[in-house]
Amino acid sequence: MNSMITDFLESVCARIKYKKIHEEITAELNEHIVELVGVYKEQGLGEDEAIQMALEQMGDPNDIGIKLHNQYKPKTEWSLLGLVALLVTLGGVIMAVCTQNEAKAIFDNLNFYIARYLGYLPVGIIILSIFYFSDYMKLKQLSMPIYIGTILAIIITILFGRRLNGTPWLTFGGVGVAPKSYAAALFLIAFAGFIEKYKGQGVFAIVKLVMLCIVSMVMLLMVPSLAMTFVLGVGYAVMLTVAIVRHNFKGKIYQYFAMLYGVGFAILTFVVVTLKPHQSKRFTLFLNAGALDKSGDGFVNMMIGKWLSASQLIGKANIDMSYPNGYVFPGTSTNFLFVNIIANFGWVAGIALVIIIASFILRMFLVTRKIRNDYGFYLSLSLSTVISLQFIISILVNLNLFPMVEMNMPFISPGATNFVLNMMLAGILLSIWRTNNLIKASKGAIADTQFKFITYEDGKIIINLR
Amino acid sequence: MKLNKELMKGSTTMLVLNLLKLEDMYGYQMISELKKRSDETFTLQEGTLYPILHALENQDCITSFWVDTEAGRRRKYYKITKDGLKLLEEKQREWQFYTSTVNKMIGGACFE
Repeated sequence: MNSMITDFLESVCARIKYKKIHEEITAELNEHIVELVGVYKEQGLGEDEAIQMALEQMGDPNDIGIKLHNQYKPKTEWSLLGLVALLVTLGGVIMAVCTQNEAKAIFDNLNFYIARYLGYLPVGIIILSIFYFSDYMKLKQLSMPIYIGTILAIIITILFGRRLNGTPWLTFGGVGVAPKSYAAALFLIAFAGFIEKYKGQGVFAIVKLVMLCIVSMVMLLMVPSLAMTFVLGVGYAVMLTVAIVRHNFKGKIYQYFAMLYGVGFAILTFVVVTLKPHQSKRFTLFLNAGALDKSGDGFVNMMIGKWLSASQLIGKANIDMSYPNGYVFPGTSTNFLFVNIIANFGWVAGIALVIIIASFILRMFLVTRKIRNDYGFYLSLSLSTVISLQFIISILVNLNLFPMVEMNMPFISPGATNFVLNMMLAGILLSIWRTNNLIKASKGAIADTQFKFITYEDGKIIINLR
Repeated sequence: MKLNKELMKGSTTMLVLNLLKLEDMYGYQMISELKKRSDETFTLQEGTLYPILHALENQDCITSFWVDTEAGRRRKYYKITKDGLKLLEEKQREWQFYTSTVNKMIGGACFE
């Protein structure tokens, strides 16, 4: 390439901070220059003169560079960053106030939970920042390694881990990690890559994807962790349904839905039939939270019921919650923190918190829709689903509206692994949204914009199952 | 007639989208088509065109694809999307409204 042209193109790119776009812009502008040079030569100009005229015609390289740079600047999604910061801060405050009773009673240390929180808070913030500034695209190639790695981690934990209340943990120098905390999230991250990989393929792709779902769910069931298997299952269902509707796969939509929900129903039946008695009991217990059954099961459900009915609109509940003789039950600082909040501050506080969480969930999914590239979209969808499900299930359990499972609220409930994991997920999400305008839309964009699942025409609603 | 460049600024995006509505084009082609169809009145500068093309692509109003030519070169073509067609319609409506209002003010012909 002629040195004058090279200099010109380099000046343009010097102004564009986003290096990944340099190659494409150089190629495009160079083509244009070459064509101009051709035209000038036809008019009789010599090679050098033609090049000079062409470059003059192109304009000021600095100006072009700056204008192009403005198109490729990463944009921070402030609303989400703000909501995460708000939830983390609220979590700290809530923890400081609500967990002291239980901390004193169990650990003889008022500030047990707070002290741990101050320990893992900076770690969480650092992890979020690392993932925020990293290129999430690299996770796509790591999909299979992440999937297999998580399966191995589960196997190793089951075989060699120590058991605490039936849950196996792996400990590294005083820090414990349990598969049920991280496995579902990691499987779903890997799954986003798998869905994108099978874009444009037919029925066989769905079969392979469903196999991947089943294997990972069985592994999680063996931990055993019924709750997280449920979360994983819902996550998979959401992602596959959305992928089918978006025409990720070749062929007619309804056949995929038939397959997917047929298999899903079969799995559900299998799980229900093989449930152990104590597990199936959990499903029925929450329904009659008032009654205490002879064997003592349903104790916690009943306690929750008592706390909730004694709670005021504002202020402390009309019930003795002090240790050791009051109406106390385990987990008020962890799983049942939401009940704790309502009982200590009133329903108004609880509702306010739910509104904040609901805004966060809504915002996550609204922003996910705007992601232009397929992998980013599916990854954003999977992470939004994981975070949302944790919140929703935790709150429902706290209100006796869902079978008793151990589920913590992201960012708010105490727990190092949970906190750091959710900070990582939030970091990846923010990274996806930040670079949304930098990454080219996937080729599917044209098909997407021309195909609508539900349209309204001539006063009729048309649902397209093509 | 020589035109004040300021007048063109507002409608460049609309003109580019309108060209792409007719057919997929690459940068140089857009500039020469525009010149041709306007009888040499509109000479769009390269420095103006490319930022607009990249901006439109980032808004998903157009998409691009590379094509290998017979001469062995690679050209980046642009294609309008459904969102782009919507934007074009919107800008055309805006333009009609604007020009008819101005015409009313200065007593020129009013095209309904």
